[in-house]
Amino acid sequence: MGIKISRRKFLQTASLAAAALPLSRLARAAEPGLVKKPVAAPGSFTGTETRYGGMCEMCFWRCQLTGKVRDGRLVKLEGNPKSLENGSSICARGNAGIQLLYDPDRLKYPLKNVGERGAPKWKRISWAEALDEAAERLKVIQKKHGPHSVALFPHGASAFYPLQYFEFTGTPNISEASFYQCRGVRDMAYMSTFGFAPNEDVDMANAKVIFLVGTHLGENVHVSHLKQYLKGLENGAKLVVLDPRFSAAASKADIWVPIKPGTDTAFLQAVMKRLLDTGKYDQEFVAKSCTGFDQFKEAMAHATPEWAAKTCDVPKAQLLQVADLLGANLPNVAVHPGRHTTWYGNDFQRSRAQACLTALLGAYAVPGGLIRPKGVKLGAASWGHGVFAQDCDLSKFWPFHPPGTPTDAIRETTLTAKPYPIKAWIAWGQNPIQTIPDQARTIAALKKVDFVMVTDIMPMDITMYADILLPEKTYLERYDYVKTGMQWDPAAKPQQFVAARMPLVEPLFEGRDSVWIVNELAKRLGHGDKIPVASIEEHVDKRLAPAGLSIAKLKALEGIFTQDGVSPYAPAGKREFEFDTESGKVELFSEQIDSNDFAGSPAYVPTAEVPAGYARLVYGRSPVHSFSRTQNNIWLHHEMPENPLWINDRVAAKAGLKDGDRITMVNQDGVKSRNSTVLKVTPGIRPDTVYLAHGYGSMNPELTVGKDQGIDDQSLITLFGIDRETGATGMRTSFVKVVKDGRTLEMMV
Amino acid sequence: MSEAVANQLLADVYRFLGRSLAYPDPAWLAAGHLVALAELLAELGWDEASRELQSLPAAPAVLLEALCIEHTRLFINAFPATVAPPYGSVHLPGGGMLNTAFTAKTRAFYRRYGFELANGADLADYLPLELEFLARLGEGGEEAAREEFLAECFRPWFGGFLARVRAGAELPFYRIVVELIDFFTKEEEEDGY
Ligand code: SF4
Repeated sequence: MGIKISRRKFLQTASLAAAALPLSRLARAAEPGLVKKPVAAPGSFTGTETRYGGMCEMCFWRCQLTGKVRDGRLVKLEGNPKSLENGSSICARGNAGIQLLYDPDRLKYPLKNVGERGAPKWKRISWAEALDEAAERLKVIQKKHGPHSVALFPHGASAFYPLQYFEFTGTPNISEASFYQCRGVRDMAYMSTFGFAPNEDVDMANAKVIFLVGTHLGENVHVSHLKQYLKGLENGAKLVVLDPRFSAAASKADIWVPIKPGTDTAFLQAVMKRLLDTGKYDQEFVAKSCTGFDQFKEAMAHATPEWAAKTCDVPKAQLLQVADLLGANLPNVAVHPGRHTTWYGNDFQRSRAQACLTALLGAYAVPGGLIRPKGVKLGAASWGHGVFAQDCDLSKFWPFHPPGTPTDAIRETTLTAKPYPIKAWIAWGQNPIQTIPDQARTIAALKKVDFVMVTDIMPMDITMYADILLPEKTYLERYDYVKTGMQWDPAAKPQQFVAARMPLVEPLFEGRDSVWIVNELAKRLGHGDKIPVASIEEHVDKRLAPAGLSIAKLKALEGIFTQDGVSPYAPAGKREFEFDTESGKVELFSEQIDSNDFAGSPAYVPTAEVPAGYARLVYGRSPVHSFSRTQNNIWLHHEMPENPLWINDRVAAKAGLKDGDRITMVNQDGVKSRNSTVLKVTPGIRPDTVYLAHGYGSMNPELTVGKDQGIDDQSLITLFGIDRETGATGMRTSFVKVVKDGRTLEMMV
Repeated sequence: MSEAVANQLLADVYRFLGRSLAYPDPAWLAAGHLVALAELLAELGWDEASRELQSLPAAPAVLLEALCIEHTRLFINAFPATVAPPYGSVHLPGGGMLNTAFTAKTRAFYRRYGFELANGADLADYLPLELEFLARLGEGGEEAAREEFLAECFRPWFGGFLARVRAGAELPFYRIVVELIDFFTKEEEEDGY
């Protein structure tokens, strides 16, 4: 450094002129950041305060929290002991919420991209500037191309209000990953069968048999759900797991069926046929509460154990063993409906099969069965329904689509401008680059539109493509979600609860909540007079009002209101129920599905075979990550810094691969993984399959912890299936080879 | 030369340097921060920095835009990476987090000398706040406390921050300001440097 004078000398010589120096004038005009207060004695201890009303959003389960706050700083998160669900327990991700709150990489102020989409140059701007510009650009697009030219990709509790608002403006082009790349298939299948979406409301805690189709509980962690599962196992429930991989659940199973991927429906059909053939089904429930039995029976007739054993590549004896175990324990069988169910593009029929199997076993409203928990009635405050022209509805080709529009339809319409142009993409808490397959097409769409706005709390792959990037408050700094439900163990004393998310700490930086952001945007787009609530607090109060509650009352109750509830079990002996389906019964055969030219009873639709030399890429959950959202969390990162590729030991031996080898991958279209990972060589996976945990390998270098860590499975999924009934995205349909030291290796035994 | 006058000057310098790190806006630019900085550099005889400062765009709108982008890139959020978040805890070994026990320790130090964060103030270990605190201590004649604060709460992290700004700054303005902060806060050697 070229300063030619010492500090001491400078202060001595310059001080005469000090008052005249412009810097002194400027310095003294500065706003103080510190104020005078009585002196605190050294060592004086600021106590730790327990704050109530927190609700976790590190995943969608929304466990209720308390926060230990010392001097305004959140130092520990715990489960709220009053919670009827998680009690005082939270999982690793729940604990690590503090790291999200205090992540230096988090989005702090509204940002404008003055560079390129994909290689942004950020400039901090004020909220007024950000909202003015966003509104102006949306207004131009809406005026020229219609309200449907704006597409929204929402996710998470805070996205409810923007979703409602954009629907109100008249766009049907809203696609939630939680439906189209996750549970939408399951929900629609169960609605077609039982008339309601099942959530994960299956009474594992009191089941005699727990039947998991691909669900890998233990790696897939949701606190009260695992409590139910573990209680069931402790009580002696038999566990049956269908999974091509020796998952955490498979490791606890009484019967692990290493099924060939994509053939689960064939397996389920054969199980149901066996139950029908042996008479081991709940004949009274079927007679009194189901419809379409004869067509259903006919549809299952072909599913012999021999056929299914061959199709599914499992021993016939094992298939029969599973069927007989289920039949012997009916109706107390927990046929888990799963959650992430968009696997092969033939998924509606598989979920229908799971629902029909549940019905056949009479496993409804009984201990161990599918149940309908009753919570407390809550209120609503809504923008009201939007009206859009029918010819704008891209979802019409998928008659059983979940709410919104299939994601792929939005992307293709954006790229082709057929049948109409889509000119703006808005992502709200969703990272479509890691949720939708074929990233190159998603990026092409993002580059094609006239405007991209993203609201999030952290940099994500998608934020790299934003023109305007808005910071939201984290779930620890805001009000939003109101949750109701019942005690975690359905057999315990019936209770109900209401909890609302309340901030545990003051917000940092300039994050805002979604109600504030949307209202400000709405005012600028000419909808100021239609705003349903002035603030998120008012929204929460309106939700709570029918229960006689308010934020103030819930605070006084340490965040959770409880009261006596209703048992989810029907009175003993009751086998006749009415359901909210077309027929009022459980539809083993659905006229509605049939009349839309789909199979009215569960049908097996084969998925493409694995090409020679490749393995099918399947993916799943890590217990310490929630999709791509926790990639940058250094506490969680330390627990599992990358996602090892599981590969069958015989395949590895033939290819000359060893456990711990560092590898990359290439898929059937020549797409290479951006990063590398380590190999986990194990007999615990089928030779035709490899497995990665999802939610690694972000392409955004702004994530200083998560960037380039592990392989992004989604980057390798370029072949995907669109579920014919629902339009959801099947993603276990791509094939890969392992690359080591520049050599692409054949995957074969 | 009275010690008090020298202390006041040092306090003004701290405040000025802290204020120089505020997010630039038209009012900030119009107030003459660059002119004041140029004078300070002249007093210090740091000719090279003076010349660098003169290389900044002259048109106010262009200059403001460039400074806003540079400020965002260095201190807020940036692609491919934020250069140097101006928070102490982030730069400590094993750091990587905002608002840690170190931040609390810094706040406790403020309290020991009768200061509290103003409403809406940033985190306690935010660099401009620390500079303001140093100014306040200087104005109160608390020289020993100033030294103690520098040793305990400032220097442990500032070196890491400085290195990142040196390596990552593209415009001279913030690099010069941060170099000056270093100059006015580092341990004085025998010869006064
Ligand atoms: S399961 Fe874990 S991450 Fe999910 S809400 Fe509960 S504590 Fe949070």
